[in-house]
Amino acid sequence: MTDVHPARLILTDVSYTVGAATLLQGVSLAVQPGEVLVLVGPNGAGKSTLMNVISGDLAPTSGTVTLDGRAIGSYRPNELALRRAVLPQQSLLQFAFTVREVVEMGRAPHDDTAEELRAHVERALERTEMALFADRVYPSLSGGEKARAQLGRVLAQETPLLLLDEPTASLDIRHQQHVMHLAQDVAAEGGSVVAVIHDLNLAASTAHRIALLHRGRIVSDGAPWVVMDEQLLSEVYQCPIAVSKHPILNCPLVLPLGRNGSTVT
Amino acid sequence: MISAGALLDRRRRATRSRSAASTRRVPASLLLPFLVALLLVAIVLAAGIGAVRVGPMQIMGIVLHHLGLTTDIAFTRQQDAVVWAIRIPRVLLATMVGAALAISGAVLQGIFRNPLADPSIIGVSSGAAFGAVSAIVIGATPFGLMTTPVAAFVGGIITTLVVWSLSRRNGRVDTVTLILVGIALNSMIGAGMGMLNYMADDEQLRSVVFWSMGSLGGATWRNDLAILPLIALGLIVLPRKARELNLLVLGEREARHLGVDVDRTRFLMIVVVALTTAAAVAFAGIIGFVGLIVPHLIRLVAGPDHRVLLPASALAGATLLVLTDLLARTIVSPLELPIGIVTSLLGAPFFLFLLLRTRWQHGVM
Repeated sequence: MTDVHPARLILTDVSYTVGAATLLQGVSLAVQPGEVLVLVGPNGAGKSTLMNVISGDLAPTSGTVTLDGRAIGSYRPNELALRRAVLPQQSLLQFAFTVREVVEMGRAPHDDTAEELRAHVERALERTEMALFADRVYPSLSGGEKARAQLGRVLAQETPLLLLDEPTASLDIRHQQHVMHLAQDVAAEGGSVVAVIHDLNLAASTAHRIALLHRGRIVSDGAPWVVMDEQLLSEVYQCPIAVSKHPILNCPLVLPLGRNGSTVT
Repeated sequence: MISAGALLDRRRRATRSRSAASTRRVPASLLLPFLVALLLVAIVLAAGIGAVRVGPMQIMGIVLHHLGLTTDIAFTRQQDAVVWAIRIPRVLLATMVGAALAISGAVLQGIFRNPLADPSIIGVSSGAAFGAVSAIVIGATPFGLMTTPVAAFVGGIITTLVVWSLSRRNGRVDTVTLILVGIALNSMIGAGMGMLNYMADDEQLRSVVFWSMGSLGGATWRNDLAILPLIALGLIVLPRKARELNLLVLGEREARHLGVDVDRTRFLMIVVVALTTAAAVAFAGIIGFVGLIVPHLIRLVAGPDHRVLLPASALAGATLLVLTDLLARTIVSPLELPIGIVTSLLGAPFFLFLLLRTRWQHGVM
């Protein structure tokens, strides 16, 4: 990849071990402004650990993580909060905050006037289609609504780097698409998005770039057509997989091949 | 049999219809002045009612007299002695202890991310009382008048840290674990208290009993002034952390991602809560459930935002304890019930109700 701009996020030879277990090994990755990078891989491949390293929650055992030219560990929490936002896999909130209040929390790192705060929150509510739910209390929402409220909070943070850990897991197909389109919008405005997605077709149809993790290593990193390789996917997921071409979008179409490696007749 | 999905769905709908009503909140601009007025009324009532009755104007006259202002309000020497030397110190102690316990409860619930945390349930109060009683029975006074508060503080903070480290898993505190840890610690401390009972002589025994049941009968101006700085510290510092507390409630990681220095903020708050609780416990003993009931009621009325919740809980907690103390010393007059017994009598059923409601709503906690 030719670097016109310096990359926003650079991981160099990152490893992370806990006791005898190596969760990440020699991971190198660069994320540019304007890019949606999707991390895929089987359960236990190290996607969440990688997200935790990128977000600065975990310090790598070896290797470096650089955000906007500085080691990520050198930022103070409030400085980091202006540069990267994280949508966690799930958030448990037992207190009856309204959706609007939850989204407002995303503005915590910024010094907003009351007017700015309202404008940013309204925008995030609208983008996530949660405006109608703004005054509902969070614990009463369905799983998908909760996920969208949290996404609203993370969008309201308006950081150049957006990290989404399985943002589509509890969403219906329309909202899955919607979330990925929001990610593309963020990228179009010059932001960078790193998302963990399990659905390979969603990844293939919406990512600019895909990185495939397997046993703590990145085994393939590139455009969807590069990474969505039949043989590679079948091997990594230990499941017979065929890759075809999406008839309309022209992106890879990933199809599992049933029990015996062939379609059921 | 009803399928799990249908059951969940029904529960969710039940929760929804309830929550639709609960989003109508009383704004802080109305609630806080109302609570201030309520507290003032409670103070005047509690200072006036008892074996010697004193009217509101006379109370004002007595207070102004001691502040060096002469008024033409008439009051007897007896009224003056009762109000100024006995009732006002006692009412002030009730105010401070109530405010301290309620704000501590609200903050602990935020730190533990669990609406059922309370200084007495999780053992912080009894830890502090154990510290205080140990100091009495051992009889050493290395810090003079402050020995008891210091010992209470050490007991309180050790218990808080033990509860904290035992009940936390993956950055969140599970209610069941929290309560079980609280039970275990309370019974361990209970055993320790039993041992102190056994070792104590008659006079010490009275103090031990006093601490375990809670009473404001020991109120004097001197005691009030001894704990005032600690409680003032809590009432000033904790509300300033309300914004961080809101984010912490969202989640430990979430708060960090939003720029909160989680470990530092939380440690500061735990220390201040332990100090405040210890100050309250030092001269009033264990007064349970105030820290649980009050923040809950405020959340129902005004929502969970700590910027409102903390000052409102302090005011309402003060009011509740002033009125409960009035009840405790008049209901079986001329005898006096220990106030801790009254708050537990009122609070325990309330706690049970909350526990069952939470279980019903979420299946698990």
